[in-house]
Amino acid sequence: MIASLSPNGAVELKEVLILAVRALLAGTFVAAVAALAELLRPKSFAGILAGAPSVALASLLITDVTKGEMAVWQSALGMIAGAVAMVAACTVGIDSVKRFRAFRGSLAAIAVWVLVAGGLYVVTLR
Amino acid sequence: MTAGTPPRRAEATTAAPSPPVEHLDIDRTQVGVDASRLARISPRDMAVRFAFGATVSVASGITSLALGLRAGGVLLAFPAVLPAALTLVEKREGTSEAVSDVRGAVVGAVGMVFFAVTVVALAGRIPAALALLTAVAVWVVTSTALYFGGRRMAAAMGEQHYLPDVGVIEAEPVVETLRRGGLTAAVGESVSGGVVAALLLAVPGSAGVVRGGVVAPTAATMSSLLDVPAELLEREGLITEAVARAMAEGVRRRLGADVGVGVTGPADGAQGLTYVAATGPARIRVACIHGDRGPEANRGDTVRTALRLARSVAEPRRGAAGT
Repeated sequence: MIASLSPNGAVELKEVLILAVRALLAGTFVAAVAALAELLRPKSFAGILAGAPSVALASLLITDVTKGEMAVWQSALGMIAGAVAMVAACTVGIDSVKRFRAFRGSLAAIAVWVLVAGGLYVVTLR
Repeated sequence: MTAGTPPRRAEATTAAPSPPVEHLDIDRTQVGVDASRLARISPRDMAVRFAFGATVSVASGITSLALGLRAGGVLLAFPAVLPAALTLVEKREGTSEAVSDVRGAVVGAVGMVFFAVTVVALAGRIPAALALLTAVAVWVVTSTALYFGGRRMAAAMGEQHYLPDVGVIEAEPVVETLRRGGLTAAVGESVSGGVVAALLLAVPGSAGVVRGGVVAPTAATMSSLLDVPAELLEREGLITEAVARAMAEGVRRRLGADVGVGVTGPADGAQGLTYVAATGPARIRVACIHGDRGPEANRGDTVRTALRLARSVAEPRRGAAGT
């Protein structure tokens, strides 16, 4: 949607406001889900919430209000690739966290996400 | 989801140790809400999560503007919060809990695929807001069904490996804590068959801090090798809190260590009670583990608990007891 940018490539004020509302809503959803996860046990059950579509829900709600249903459809299509990559990343994360501890292990998982999501986007969506 | 009758807490009949005893009750199968954790939610942690969520959403929005909605949509499933969340869990509860968190995230991520597919299938046919609501319901149903289905399947499949799936990395903090405190440790085990000692000894540099281990799965060996009083074993059986404490005290005394760990449970790792005790210079901690997740997972829980308790009693005492 290059047309949404102004002629000199800068993001228009309206888009900035939309981004701000997206950020506020997504941040709130993520924090709320994280708080819920803190209360659940065991950890493997609470961990399900680490795969909750919090950012997606907030962002798609705003997309629906500002750009309409077809934009939601297009975004969700892209999200399938991201979610498949998330499955791959977390699966690798089980072993990488065991080997390298949480921080480096989760960075390895993110690297897997970038590779898988990027590959799926190039091959199927672009 | 508690399996079986809640365990009876036996009174220790061995010579009363001076440090206070802290008890943990661990149900392997229980799933639910623990309201006591509410106090542990820190505003700073929530702010970090908020920032990550907001950043990913903005990044997705800008990508949508620059490269198109599909490219922006890919980023809606970016696991940005993972490093912060897992590091926090590891810091508070250990690496094994961080691994458990990622295992759960795999299930949630599969649910996320179903979420996105549902939106694609319904958007345009019904109002998008309703499609999103339906997709959230699909995520909840799919994720919880996969989680509980996976647990049942794992329990039904039974034994796959004798050794539990516990990495050496989980024993490293114990050895590090002992080394830092200038302490030594010894382990007396029945159900875990020497795995706790083996894991501790697998950590590089552990030879100086791990005095050794004794595998004593019978009343005779518990009594002769770990000095567990024969009358206690006769009166209460092999699997009680008092026996676990006596094993920990016995191995500690016999091997001249500062920290003693005792583990007693059913020899075949099958369902049933397991008691883990750890005695240190200033603390005694005893955990009662119950519920059945299958022999392999049960053994894993036992070994992790033994490592956790060993580390906690080796730490310098500060204020109120924590987990």
